[in-house]
Amino acid sequence: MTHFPHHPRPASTDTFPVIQRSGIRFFRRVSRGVAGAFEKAGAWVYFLRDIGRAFGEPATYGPETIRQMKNIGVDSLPLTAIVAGFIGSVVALQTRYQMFPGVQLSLVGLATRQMVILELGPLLTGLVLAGRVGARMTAEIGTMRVTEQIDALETLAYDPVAFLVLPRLLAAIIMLPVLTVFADAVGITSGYLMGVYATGISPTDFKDGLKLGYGTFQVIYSLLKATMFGGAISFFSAYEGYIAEAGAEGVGRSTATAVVITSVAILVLDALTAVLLAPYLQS
Amino acid sequence: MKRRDEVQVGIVITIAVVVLLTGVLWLARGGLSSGYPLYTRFAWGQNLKQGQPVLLAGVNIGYVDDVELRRDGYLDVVMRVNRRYRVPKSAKATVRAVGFFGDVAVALTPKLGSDLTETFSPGDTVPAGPPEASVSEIMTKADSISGALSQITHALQVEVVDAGGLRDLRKTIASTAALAVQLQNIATEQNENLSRTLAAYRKVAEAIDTAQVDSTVRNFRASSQYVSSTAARLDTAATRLNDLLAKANNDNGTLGLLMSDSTLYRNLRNSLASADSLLADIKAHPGRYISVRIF
Repeated sequence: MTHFPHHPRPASTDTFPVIQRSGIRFFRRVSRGVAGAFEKAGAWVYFLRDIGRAFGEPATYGPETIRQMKNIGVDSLPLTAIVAGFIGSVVALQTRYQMFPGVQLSLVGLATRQMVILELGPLLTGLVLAGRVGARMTAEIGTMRVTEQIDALETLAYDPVAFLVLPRLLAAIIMLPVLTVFADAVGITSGYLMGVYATGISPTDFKDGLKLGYGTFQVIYSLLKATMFGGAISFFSAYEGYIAEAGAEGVGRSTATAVVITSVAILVLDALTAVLLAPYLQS
Repeated sequence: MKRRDEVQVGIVITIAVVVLLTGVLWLARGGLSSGYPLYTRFAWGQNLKQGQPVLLAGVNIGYVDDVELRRDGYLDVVMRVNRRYRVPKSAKATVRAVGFFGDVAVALTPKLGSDLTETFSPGDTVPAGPPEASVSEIMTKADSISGALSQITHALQVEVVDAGGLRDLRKTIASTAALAVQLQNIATEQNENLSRTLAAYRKVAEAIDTAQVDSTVRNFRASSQYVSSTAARLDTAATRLNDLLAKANNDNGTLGLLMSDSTLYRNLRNSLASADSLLADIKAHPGRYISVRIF
C-alpha cells in the first residue's frame, strides 16, 4: 500500500538578515520542489506496483471494468463525436482556403486524413476525456477517500486498488482507442462533407487525397497514442483521487491537479510519440 | 453491474472494430473486394509499397498487395485487380509518380491499336515497361540545370558586370548608334551627290548630238582603217629596212664592204686629213687657189 511521508518543519529563519533569509527560503523552496518531484515520481511507482499486484484479483476488477467502460467509452461517445466532427470540418475548410492556385485539390483530403488520424483525433479525444472522465474519476475516488470508504474496503479485505483503480485503468486503456476510431471516422467524414459541399472540392479529389501516401501504420500510430493517453488519464486521475486530503476542498484540489497533470502528460506523451515513431510513418 | 452496460459496451466496441477494418481496407485497397492477382517485376528503387493504386489507362482498377525485395536487384510486385476489370495482354507495367508528394502508382498501359479483347488471366505476369522519370530524377535534373544557370549567372556577373563589360557594351552600343547616324548622314549626302551627278549626266547625255557622234564614229572608223593601212605600210618598210640592214651587215655587198672595210676607213681618214690640210692651206693662201677677177 502507498505510504505518504510526513515532512519535519524546517528551522525558523526569522533571526537572519533579510538577504540571507530570502536566499535560504528560495533554496528551501527549490529543494522542496525538486524533492517533491522525486517523491511524486516514487509515489507513482509505488502506485503502479499496487496496480500490478491488483491484476491478481480478476474477480474484483472484472465486473467493475465493464461498468467503467460504459462510463468512460459509451457515455463519452457523443462529446467525442461532436469535437471530432467540428475539428475535421475546420481542418478541411482551413486547408482549402490556405491553398494557393495551382495546388491540387486532393491535398485537402490528404491534410484532413493526416491531421485527424495522426494528431487531432487521439489528442483531442484524450484532452476532452481528461476533463470529462479524469475529473470525474478523481472526484469519485477522492470522495471515497475523504469519507473513509477506501479504509472500509481495506477493512473488509478488499483491495481498493483492484476495485477502484484497475477497472478504470483498463476501461480507459480499452475505450480510448475505441473512441479514437470513432473520432477519426467522424472527423474525416465531416471533413469530406465540408470539403465537398462547402468548398466545392470534387468527391474524387478528396478521396484520392485520403488514399494518397496512406500506410496502415498511421492508424496503428493513432491507436497507440490513444492507448497511452487512456492509461495516463486513468492513472494520474485515480492517483490524485486516491491521495486526496480530507474535506471537499481537498477533493477539489486533487481534481484540479489531476486535470492539469493529465493534460500535460497527454501533451508530453504526444510529443514523445511523435519523436520516436514519426519516422516510421513514411514506411 | 447492469446487463445493459455490457450490451452497450459490446455494441460500441463492435462498431468501432467494423469501422476500423472498413476504413483501413478502404484506404489501403480502395474497397473490401480482394480482386484477382497479377504479378510484375520492377528494378529496385521504385518507392513502391503496399496499398498503392494500380491504374489501367489512368483508371484505378486495384492496388499493390505485396512488394517482395529480391536479392538480384528486382522487386516482385503482387497486384490485386478488381474483378470488374480485365487487363489487355499488350499492356506494360510502369511505376508512375502521382502528384508532387512522392506517391507512386503502378500504371498498366495497353498498346494502342492492339487486340484489347485478349486479356491477362489471374496469376499472369505483366511485363514491365521502360521506367519513367521520377519526380526526384526530374528534380535532380532541374537542380543541375539550376546549378549550371547559377554558374553562368555568376560568370556573367563577374565578367560582364563586375569587370565593366556591361559598361563597355553600353559604350559600344552608343558608339555603334553614333556610327550608324554618321553613316546615315553620309549616305544621305552621297545620295544627294549621286542624284546631282545623275542629273548632270542626264543633261550631258541629252546635249550630245547623235548625228555628230555618228559621224565622229565613222571618222574614227576611217582613221582606224587609215592607221591600220599605215601600220601595214610601216611593216613593209620595216621589212625592207631589215633586208637592207642584212645586206649591209653582209661583208660581200657594197654597203657591207663600206661599213666593214678598214682600208676604206683609213683611206677616208687620210683623205679627210688631206682635205683638212688643203682647206687650211686654202684658208692660209686663198689666192693660191682662188683667183677672183672682176672684169
